[in-house]
Amino acid sequence: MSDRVLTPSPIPVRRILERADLELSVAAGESGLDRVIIRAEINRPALELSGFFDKWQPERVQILGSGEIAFIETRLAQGDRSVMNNLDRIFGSHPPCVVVTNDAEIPKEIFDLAERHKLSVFRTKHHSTSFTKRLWDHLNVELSPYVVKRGVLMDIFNVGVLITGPSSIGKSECALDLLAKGHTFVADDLILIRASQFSHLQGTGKAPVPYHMEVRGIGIIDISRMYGPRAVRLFKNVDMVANLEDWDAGKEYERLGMESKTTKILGVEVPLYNLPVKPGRNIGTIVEVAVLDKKLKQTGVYMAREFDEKLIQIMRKAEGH
Amino acid sequence: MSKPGFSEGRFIIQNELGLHARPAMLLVQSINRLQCNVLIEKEGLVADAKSIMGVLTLAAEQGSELIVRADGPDAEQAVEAIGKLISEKFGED
Repeated sequence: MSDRVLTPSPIPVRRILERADLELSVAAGESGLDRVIIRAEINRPALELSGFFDKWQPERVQILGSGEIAFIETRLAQGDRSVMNNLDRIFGSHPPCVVVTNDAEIPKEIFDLAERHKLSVFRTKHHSTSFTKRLWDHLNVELSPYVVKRGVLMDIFNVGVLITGPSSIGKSECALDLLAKGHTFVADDLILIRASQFSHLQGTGKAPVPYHMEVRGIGIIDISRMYGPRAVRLFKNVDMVANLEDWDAGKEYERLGMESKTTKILGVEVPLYNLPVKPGRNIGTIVEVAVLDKKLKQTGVYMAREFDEKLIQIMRKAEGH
Repeated sequence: MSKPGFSEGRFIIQNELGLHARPAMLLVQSINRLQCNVLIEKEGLVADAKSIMGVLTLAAEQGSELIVRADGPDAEQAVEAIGKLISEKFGED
């Protein structure tokens, strides 16, 4: 399966209006709602308002906080028209949209400019810092490159596990087994993985209707109905990969566990466990054990090393006799 | 048909309801017994054509284009079988 890195399409400005947590409403420039956002970065055009455009990045969402609004009003009250020219330049260089935070009173001049340049101006009750954080988190996820991988994504002991392997190896059966043990299902088959900021891999199902899975011999089942809302979640970081493979007598599998193996997803290293499958092996339990092993290794506990150290000590003592 | 054992075809979904459950099942069944690997792509999203959930995840509506790529000894047969089902509207409409 190809691991093609895909780039998301630009986000139409109207889509961020739909995000309830941003609490945005249109103040002016409704005709600008079809503009698109291509960058997650955000700008507060304080320098540009005072006339400094050397580092001006118009492709960013522009935020006017109470500081910027007060600056504009003060300058206008002083009869300083240069602030109007600067505003005109900001609004006229095609930024995706402008957000006025803090529910600040918007000067009439801004309404006029928004309509003239067909640029949407939103208002929100959030403070600038908190709004910037929310918007950045959201845009950063939505605009990150992503890959689509085949497998089942589960939350096991709060570790996001991508279960991979060839078709009909038993990934779905393994997921059912893990559900029966009380673990949480995220998605089956096509898993969209994004590398969000700070190298977190966020996984979610690509399916338009979430939480469904095919079980051979039964058909399509809805996990959220069968196991209830506690058994499902929409997103989970991908913290490790459990790769199921046909038991190959000629292949050497991990026998000690002294080191940890990793694989790379979108350039991020993720612990990898290759788990051979053969009839009679309870794969759900083995995946669960792999997760516990990963958790221990993450805290520096390598059980095979500890065992080996104890063994060596015992042998040293015996030598002394 | 660039190399032996590889075959590719582009098809437009014809039936009104698109690639929903029943057509997806027919599609998977038409190639399931073949040896080749079959991938099916819609707008950059690639699914295993032998997986029901994969094919359904494409949510291929009427008028959408699918690229079918098969790799293996019976690759041509796979692409033909899928093309036939799509052109026959999966027996619907």
